[in-house]
Amino acid sequence: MDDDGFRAFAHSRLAYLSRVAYLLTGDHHAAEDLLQNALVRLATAWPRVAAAGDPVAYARRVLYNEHVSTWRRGRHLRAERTTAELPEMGGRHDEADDAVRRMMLEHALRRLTHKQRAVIVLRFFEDLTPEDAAEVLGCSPGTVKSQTHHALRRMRELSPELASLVHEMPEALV
Amino acid sequence: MTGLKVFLDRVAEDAKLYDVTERALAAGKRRRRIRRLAVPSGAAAVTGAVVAAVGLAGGGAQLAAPQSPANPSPTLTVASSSAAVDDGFPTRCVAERLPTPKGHGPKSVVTGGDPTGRYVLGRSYPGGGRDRLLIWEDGKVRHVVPIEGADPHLYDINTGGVAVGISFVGPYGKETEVAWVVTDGKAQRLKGQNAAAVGINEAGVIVGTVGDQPVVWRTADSAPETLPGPPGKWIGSAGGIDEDGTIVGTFGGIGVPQSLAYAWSPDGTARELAPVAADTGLKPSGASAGSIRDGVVLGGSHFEDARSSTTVTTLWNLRTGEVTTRPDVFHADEANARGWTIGQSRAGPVLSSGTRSVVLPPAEGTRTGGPTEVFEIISLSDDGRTIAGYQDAAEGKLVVVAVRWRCS
Repeated sequence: MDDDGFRAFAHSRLAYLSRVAYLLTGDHHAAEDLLQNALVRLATAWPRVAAAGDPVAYARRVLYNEHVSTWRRGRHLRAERTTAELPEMGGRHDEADDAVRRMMLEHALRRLTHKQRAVIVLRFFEDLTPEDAAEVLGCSPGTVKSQTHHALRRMRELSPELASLVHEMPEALV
Repeated sequence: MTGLKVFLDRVAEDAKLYDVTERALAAGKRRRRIRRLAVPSGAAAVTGAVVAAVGLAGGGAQLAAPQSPANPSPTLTVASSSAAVDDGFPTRCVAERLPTPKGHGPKSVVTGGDPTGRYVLGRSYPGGGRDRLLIWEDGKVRHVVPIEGADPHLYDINTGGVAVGISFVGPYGKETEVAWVVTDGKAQRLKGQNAAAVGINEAGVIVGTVGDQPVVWRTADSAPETLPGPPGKWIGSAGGIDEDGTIVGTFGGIGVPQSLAYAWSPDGTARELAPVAADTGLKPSGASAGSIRDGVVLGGSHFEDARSSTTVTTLWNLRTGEVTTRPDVFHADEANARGWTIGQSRAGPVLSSGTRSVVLPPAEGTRTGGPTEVFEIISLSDDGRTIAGYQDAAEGKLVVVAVRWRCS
């Protein structure tokens, strides 16, 4: 193999990285762009990264930082595909409620800054501690906590119906 | 917060498998090779390395290529002058860092530029958490633009130095996106709620988005006019405006994986720009149009299936009707009237004409190889001689610096 294991690594992690890219962007084209940019960077640095021994951590770091640093760039190239008009929450059965709640969540995520969205995905999808999330983003744990706080508050403000999902439990900030 | 995790998991289930491994591998290899060639010890080696004949013809013949496997032995060759048509296409580009204001530190990015290459837009980071908008003129900081709100971003500037952009205004949790026009370094708010201004022409006509629809502001004081779209429910945005007033933009279907590239003539007539057919092995999912210069629209044709998706960079010449592709260039940000395009390629960041390309080298005193390998090419002048973007300055830290390339 002339790729020193890059292909095998990328394929084994592609599903995970694709999910994170999609959660960060909410759009298939943007997710593909994001992941491609991140993997180009990973491939460029691959010999060094592979030698250092923790390519997953490196790939994650590249993906999130790529997302934060290319903040809103290229937005004019992409039509956002999230639903524009949200139905009201009504007296429906649970399944329909869940569908509506999910649409509201996607809508609220769309309104966050890239950094806020990144901390939400790191903390609540990846289940990382503020310290580990800070390591990924290259910032302080304090920044992660304050960004999480602002992001959750913003989501609550945007979609009060999500309050039960995004209320701040003490463990969210410790 | 387990409830939130459950819902994030469900959103994540909608992700496809974006298999960009081969493209990434090819691009990564080419970049490593270029860096090796571009070691500072030999200026001649740098000159040679920046001229890469990518060897792709462009156009229909290459349409099967976007996801083709990596070439195991990259062919980085110096273009011979006899092979080049003398249309002024540059053979080499030299990078120089753009300065930041005193006390701001080196971290800076480029976000746009004017058609002459005289003005470049960007941001610097003086610390204290607030970034600052910058306008460079002829490589010097001309304005540090004070603007209300958080996360400001300038997208475009005309040759008269009038810029447009956005920021988020309001208390946390209640911010709304606000569109701005900046004249002589002073920002004026454009009308419209949840508005973004992303393009401006020489006449000062501004385009962008209000709510979820594409709009035009005829003057800085005008109310936004919504541009007509396809029947049914679509979310849309305008991306660019030409000197004759032609506007381009994109609509996305609500809940359906389909997008439509649109052009609005100066008389207001709207028409769809058809995506190209390409043998990507995936289903066509429409097109998008991002910018326009002298009748040449830059955008993409999209393809996807349940598991993956890809984009073929596409140029529509509205004057000749010709549609061409740049399968060798991805993340294309701008094109000029001759169809020269800036973006990423297997050989690294490039200026590409389709048949020829010049690789953009890192600025002196920097090296790529930092944590994220940032190398973004944002702005291209009409004559193809001035390009602006940003790259990482490495030293093991996540620091990006604004760069201008002069090409000849």
